[in-house]
Amino acid sequence: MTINRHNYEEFFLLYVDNELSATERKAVDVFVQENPDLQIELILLQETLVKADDIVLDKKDWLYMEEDISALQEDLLLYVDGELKEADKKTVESVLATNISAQKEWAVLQQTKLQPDMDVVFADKQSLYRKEPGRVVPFKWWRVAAAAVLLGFGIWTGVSVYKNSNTTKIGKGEYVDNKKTSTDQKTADPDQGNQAVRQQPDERSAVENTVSTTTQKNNEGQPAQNIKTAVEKNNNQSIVSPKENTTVQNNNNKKPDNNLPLPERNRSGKPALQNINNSGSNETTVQNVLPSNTNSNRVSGNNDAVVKLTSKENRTIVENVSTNKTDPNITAIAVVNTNKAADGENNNRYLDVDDDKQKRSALGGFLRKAKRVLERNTNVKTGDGVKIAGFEIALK
Amino acid sequence: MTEREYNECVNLYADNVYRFILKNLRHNEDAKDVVQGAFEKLWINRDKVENGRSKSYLFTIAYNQMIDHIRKSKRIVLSEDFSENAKGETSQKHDAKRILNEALYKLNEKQRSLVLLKDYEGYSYDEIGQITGLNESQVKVYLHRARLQLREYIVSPENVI
Repeated sequence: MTINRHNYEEFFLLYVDNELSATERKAVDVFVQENPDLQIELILLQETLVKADDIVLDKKDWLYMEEDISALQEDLLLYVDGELKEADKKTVESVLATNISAQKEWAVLQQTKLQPDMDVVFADKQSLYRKEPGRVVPFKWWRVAAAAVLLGFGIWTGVSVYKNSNTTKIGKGEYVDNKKTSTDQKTADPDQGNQAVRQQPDERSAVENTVSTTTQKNNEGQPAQNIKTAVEKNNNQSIVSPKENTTVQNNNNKKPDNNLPLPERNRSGKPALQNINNSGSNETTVQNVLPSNTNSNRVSGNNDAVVKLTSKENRTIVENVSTNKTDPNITAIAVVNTNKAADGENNNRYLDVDDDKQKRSALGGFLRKAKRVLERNTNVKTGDGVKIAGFEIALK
Repeated sequence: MTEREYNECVNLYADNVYRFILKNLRHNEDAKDVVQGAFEKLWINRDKVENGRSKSYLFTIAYNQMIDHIRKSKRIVLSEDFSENAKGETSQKHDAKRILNEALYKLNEKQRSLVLLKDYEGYSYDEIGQITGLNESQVKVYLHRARLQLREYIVSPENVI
């Protein structure tokens, strides 16, 4: 690139910085001679140069490299620092054992080794300690799973109680569907806390007729069974809705306060459901129930709370046995005094209790259902009440 | 690093760090401040520091804070030497230690730190390099020079033991 009046400034700066080649410096000199008005500009630029000749560094000794550190001294320094490998360490030790000057040098170098003063301690350690703030413990997943299982069980139980309301069972393993009028789920009457079983008057006659019919049909020699219906009252409304073809009739007999079963009725006695409209007392009624047949003829589906009855010689034990579903309105428990069967075995009778027209406590029905499930699963026979967490709630 | 491990570090290394810093700064309160700052940083970064490297981490932080402090304050230390026993005994051993301390303070802060890390804590060249930000060969050269300087001071005619 040739110098001219448009680019001479760059060439002047490079000239002052001594960055131009000999040829380019000569070209700048020629340009300046041809343009004398620009010469003064080049001179001014040259005067801006700073000269460093006046600054001198004294005492350069500490900058000099010590080239005369002997190999032995180097090894001794490494030995003092503990940086020698095992093989080299043995070599140095062997030299020290024989070389007197090395021993002297080693003695001096050992004196340059500092020893910590253990009396110097940091007194205020308390100010250094720290404590983490409280943290949230994560909820363990298995607890969540357990809670979900319990919740699911509760929902399932509630659904079962809600759906199961229309099935009754008569005799041994026979279920009889309710009439339409009697299939309505009766909800608990909160005002009748202790009322156990009720049956509408118009249903009672139908039941009695049914019992008569089944009595006639019972020609298979099955022992007549006196079924004593134990009706317990509790604070939760217990309602049994009457069903068609039920052979259980209300009996107005009242259970003695000592809870002993009432005497058996003869076969001619018509079983009847006890119609208890009063409240506030525990009652056990005796029912005569004549099973229609011995064949197990369960009708699956919407079953009422099934009462599984076992009898002993002079006592009856009533168990509530749940089927798949439980009518929340059924709370009546039938206590059966069975005559000894021909085979001498206890007969398990299933008793359907009509719950059509009787109000029951939804909670009581739910608790009963839960109780039956527990008993069935755990084979634990409980009393007449529902056990929850070791506490038994008497069901009336 | 857990809370328990951190507090254990306080028990194990607070004295060592304090001794190292105090020997360098020769000022009690400044040394305490540096120690406090170093442990504070360890606590803040406890999740990032493994328990096995906590000591070197502490010394690294303390060393850097000490250098910063020296550069900021440019203090000329006139306080007494805390490593001295103030009983007034004049034993040969006591003189040797005094002379060595004097020689130590003839070194610059970097050389002094290297000598202290080597002699007080027994760190290797590599570990000292990680703490001070030097490479291993630099540590070796600086440390050897410092050692020879101490040697020269000890054997000088005015300090002959």
